[in-house]
Amino acid sequence: MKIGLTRRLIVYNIDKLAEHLGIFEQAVLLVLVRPQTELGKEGYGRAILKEVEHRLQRPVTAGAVYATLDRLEAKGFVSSALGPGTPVRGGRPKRHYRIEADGLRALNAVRTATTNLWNGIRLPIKGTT
Amino acid sequence: MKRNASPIVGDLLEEYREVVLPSRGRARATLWFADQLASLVRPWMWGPIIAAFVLIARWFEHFLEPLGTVYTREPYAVFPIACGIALGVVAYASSRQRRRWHAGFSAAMVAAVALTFSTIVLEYGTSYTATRYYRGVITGRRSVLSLMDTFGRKRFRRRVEETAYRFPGHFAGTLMLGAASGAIGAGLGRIERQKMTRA
Repeated sequence: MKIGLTRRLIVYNIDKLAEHLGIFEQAVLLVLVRPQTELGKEGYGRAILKEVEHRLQRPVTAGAVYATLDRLEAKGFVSSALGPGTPVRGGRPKRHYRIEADGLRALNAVRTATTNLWNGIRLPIKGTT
Repeated sequence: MKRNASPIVGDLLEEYREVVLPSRGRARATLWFADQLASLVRPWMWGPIIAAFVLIARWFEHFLEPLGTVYTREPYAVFPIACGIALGVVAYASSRQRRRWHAGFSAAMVAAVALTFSTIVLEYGTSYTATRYYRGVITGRRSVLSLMDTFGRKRFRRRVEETAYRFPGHFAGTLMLGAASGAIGAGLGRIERQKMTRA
């Protein structure tokens, strides 16, 4: 068990990747891995925003999503490409996002770290206070 | 985010036309659009934006000063109350969002806007003289030149000269203040985000 954990720590570089992946970043990356809505499957800015709202069950602002996508792209976790526009968008192009191998590694790392953290703890947590 | 400007505006337009406009009506949909655009502004940019706004308002206020100097001293008592309410509301809202560091900065920005608006609205809006003359100008019964006649061409010219003289000082001072507050806000925001990421 101890050896397995150490190996996983080395393979996924948990100490670095997991520390730099917040909840919102995880939500955005998970949307790109497995969208749950038809719109979400298109993978462009608005579709990702809607999908994140659907997953988090709360409204999110456009600024939060685009800033996160920018940050993830700068980290090399996602890549993007411009697609054609539509009349309803005034002909403006869509930017489609795709998760990269580093993004998948980061998600695996953060999931492993979280699972290890919660290992052996029953829900709901009952405290002394 | 600059390279994404066109796709982002396209996304917002799509949401606006397909979802928000049919469900909320034009006025609320426009507010939604403005809110979304505001969310795209980086924290450090808010300082210079507010500063530019305050600068223009101060310049405008200074330029029009002769019209409201006699009649409206009483409303000054309202300034601290209005600013106090604004500070309290924003500080409370910020602390509710666990952004206590942002509270002071946000409150300062709101106070700046509130103070500027208060100055214009209370000083000139409630002034009988100003209202009378501006209404005449807006409805076309009076020309701007008649304002000059009313208050004296020499006085008006002197005011223009004074404004031009003070403008560089206002400009530099306000922009420096705005840049400093923007930098502080961005720095505090970064610290807060790092804390939340580590938590």
